[in-house]
Amino acid sequence: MTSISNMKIGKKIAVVLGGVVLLLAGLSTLALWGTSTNQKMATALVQRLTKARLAERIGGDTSTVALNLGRMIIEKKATEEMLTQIRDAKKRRAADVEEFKALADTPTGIKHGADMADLVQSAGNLSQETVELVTAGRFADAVRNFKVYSSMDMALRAKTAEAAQFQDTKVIEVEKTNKETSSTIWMALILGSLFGVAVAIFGGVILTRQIAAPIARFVSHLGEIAKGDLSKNAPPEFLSRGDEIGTMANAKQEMIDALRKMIQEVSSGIQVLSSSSTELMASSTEMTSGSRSASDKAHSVSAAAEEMSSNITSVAAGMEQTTTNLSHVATATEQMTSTIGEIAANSEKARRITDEATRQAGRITEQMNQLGVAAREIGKVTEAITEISSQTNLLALNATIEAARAGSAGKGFAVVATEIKALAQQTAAATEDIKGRIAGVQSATAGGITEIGKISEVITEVSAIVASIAAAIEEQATATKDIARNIAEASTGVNDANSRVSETSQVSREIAKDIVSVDRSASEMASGSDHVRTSAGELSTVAEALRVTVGRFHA
Amino acid sequence: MVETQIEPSTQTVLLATFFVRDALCALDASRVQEVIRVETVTLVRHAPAEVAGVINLRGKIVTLLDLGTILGFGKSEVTRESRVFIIEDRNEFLGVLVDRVGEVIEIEPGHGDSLPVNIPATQARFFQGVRRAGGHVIAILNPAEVLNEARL
Repeated sequence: MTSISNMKIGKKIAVVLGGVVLLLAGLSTLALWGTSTNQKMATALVQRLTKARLAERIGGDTSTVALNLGRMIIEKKATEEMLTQIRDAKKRRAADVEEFKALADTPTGIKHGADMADLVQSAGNLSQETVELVTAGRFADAVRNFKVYSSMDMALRAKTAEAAQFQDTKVIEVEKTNKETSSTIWMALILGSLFGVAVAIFGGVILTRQIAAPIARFVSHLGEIAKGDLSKNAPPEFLSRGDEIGTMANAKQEMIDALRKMIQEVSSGIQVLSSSSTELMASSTEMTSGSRSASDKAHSVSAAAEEMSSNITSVAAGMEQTTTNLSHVATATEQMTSTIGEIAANSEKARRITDEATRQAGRITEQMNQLGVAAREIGKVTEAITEISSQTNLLALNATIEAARAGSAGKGFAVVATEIKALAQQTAAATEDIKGRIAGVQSATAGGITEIGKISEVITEVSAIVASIAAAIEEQATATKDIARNIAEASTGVNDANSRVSETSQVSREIAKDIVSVDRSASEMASGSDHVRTSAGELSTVAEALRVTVGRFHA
Repeated sequence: MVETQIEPSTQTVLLATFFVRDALCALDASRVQEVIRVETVTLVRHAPAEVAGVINLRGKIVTLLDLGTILGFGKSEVTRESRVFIIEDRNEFLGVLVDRVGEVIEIEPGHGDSLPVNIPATQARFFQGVRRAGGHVIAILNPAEVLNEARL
C-alpha cells in the first residue's frame, strides 16, 4: 500500500484508467474478433449460399439447355430464341461453374466444382453437338444425344443438388459454429464487462481512498483552520506519502507552522502596539503640558529679549569709548616703539664698548702675566745671589776659624776674614733687599692681576647685563610689536563687535517675532498632541480588535 | 748680628754657633778645623745611628756624626742649609752634621751660666754650659763627649 501511496495521483489514475482501458481494449478486441468471426462466418455463409445458388443455377441452366434441346428436338428446329437461350444458359452456366470453382474452399467443394465442370463441359459439348445435329437436321442423332444429354443433365443436376446440399450442410454447420462462437463471445464479453466493472469499482475505491478522501480531509482541516483552529497538524500518514497528497500535506503543515508563527508574531506585535499606543497617549499628554510650559517660557524669553535690547544699547556706547581708548593706546605704543629703538641702539653701543674693554683687560692681564714671569725670573737670580751670600758666609766662617786657630800669627788674616765677613753681610743684606723688592714687585703684580681680573669680571658682568638688556629690549620690541598688532586686532575686534552689536539688536527684534511664532507653534503643538492622543486611543481600540481577531486562532 | 772682635790674646773665646733643629748650640772655634757644605754622604751599614756615614774631604775619609741623633733629636735631614764642622780629635778628623750655621761670636770666658737642672743627665754630658749673647741663649757643646759617641 505504501508503494501505491507514494505513486503520483496522475500515475494512480493512469494505472486505474490504464487497467480499465486495457480491459476495454481486451473486450473490444474480443468483440472485434467476434464481429470479424461473425463477418467471416457471414461471408462464408454467403459464399456457401452463393455456391449453393450457383450450383442450383447451374442445374437450372442445364435444365434450360435441356429443355431447349428438348423443344428443339420436339419441334425439330432450332429457333433463334432457343439458341439464344441455350447460348445464354451455357454462358451463364460456364460462368457460374468458374465462379463456383473459384469459391470452392473445401476439398469436397473443390471436388464438386471439378466434377461439375467436367460434367458441364461434357454437357456443353453434347448440347453443342445436339444443336448442331438439330441444325443439321439429324434429329435421330439429336434425340440420341439428347437422351445422353438428359442423363448427363440428370447427373449434373444430381451433382449440383449434391453440391448445393453440401453447401447447405456447411451452412448449417457454420451457423451452429457461429452460434457457439457467438455465445462464447457473449459470455466472454459479459464476464469481461463484469470484471471491468469490478476493476473500475475497485480502482474507483482506491482512487477515492487515495485521493478523494485525503482531499476531503484536507478540505475539512482547512475549514477548521479557516475557523481559527490551528491546533491540529497534518496527519503523519499523509506527510510520509511520496505523491501529490504527501506534497499537499507537507505544504499544509508548512502553512500551519507558518500561520502559527505568524499568529504569535502578530500577537506579540499587537501587545507591543497596545503598550506603545498607551505610551503614546501618555507621551501626547506630556507633550500637551510641555507645549503649554513652552508657551509660558516663550513669554518669559520675550521679556528677557526686551532687557537684552536695552543692554545692547549700553554695550554699544561702551564700545565707542573702547575705540577711543584703543586709538590712544596705539599712539602710546608708537612712542614706546621709537624709545625702545633708541635703547636698543644704545645697548648695542654699550655692548661694543664692553667687548673692547674686555679685550683691553685681556691684553693688560697678558702683560701682567709677562711681568709676573719676569719677576719669577729675577727670583731665580736672587737664588743665585743667596747662594753666593751663603758661600761668602761660609768663607767668612772658615776664615774666622782659621784666624782664631792661627792665633797671633793670623792677625793679618783676621783682617781679611773681617772684610770677607762684612762682604758676606752686605751680600746677605743686599740679597734680602732684592728679595724684598722682588717680593714687592711680585705681590704688586699679583695684586694688579687680581685687580685686572676683578675688572675683567666686572666688565664681563657689565657685558652680560648689557646683553641681557639688549635681549630684554628685543623682547620689549617684539612685545611692543605684539601690542601694536593686538591693538590693531582689538580695533578690528571692536569694529567687529560694533557690527555684531547692531546685528544682535536686529536679532533680538527677530527673536521677539520668533517668540510670537513659537507661541503659536506651541499652541498648535498642543492641539496636535490632542489629535495624537485621540489617534492613540483609536490605535488602542484597533489593537484590541486585532487581538480579538487573532484570538480566534488558537494553536 | 753681633760683630765679632778677633782678639784672641785678650782671652776671649770664639764660638762657632749653629742650629740643631731649633736649638742654638756652639762649639769652641779653636777646636774647629773648618766648616764645609755637605756633599755626597756615603752610608755605612751596621754603623750606629749616630754615624751618618762617611764623606770625602779632599781625599781624606772623614766619619760624619749626626749631632741631631746624638742629642736625641732623631735622624737629621740633609738640606741645603746643612753644614759639617770638621773637628780634629787626637790626630783624627771627624765631621759633625748640623742643620744651620750661625755666626762666630766672641765671649768672655768664665761668664758661662750653668746648665738648667731639668735637663736629663744623658743629655747634660754633651754640654759645657749655657751662655746668653745678643738676646739669644746658646748651649755650648762639649766636643769630647760628642766625639766619644763615635767610639762607642
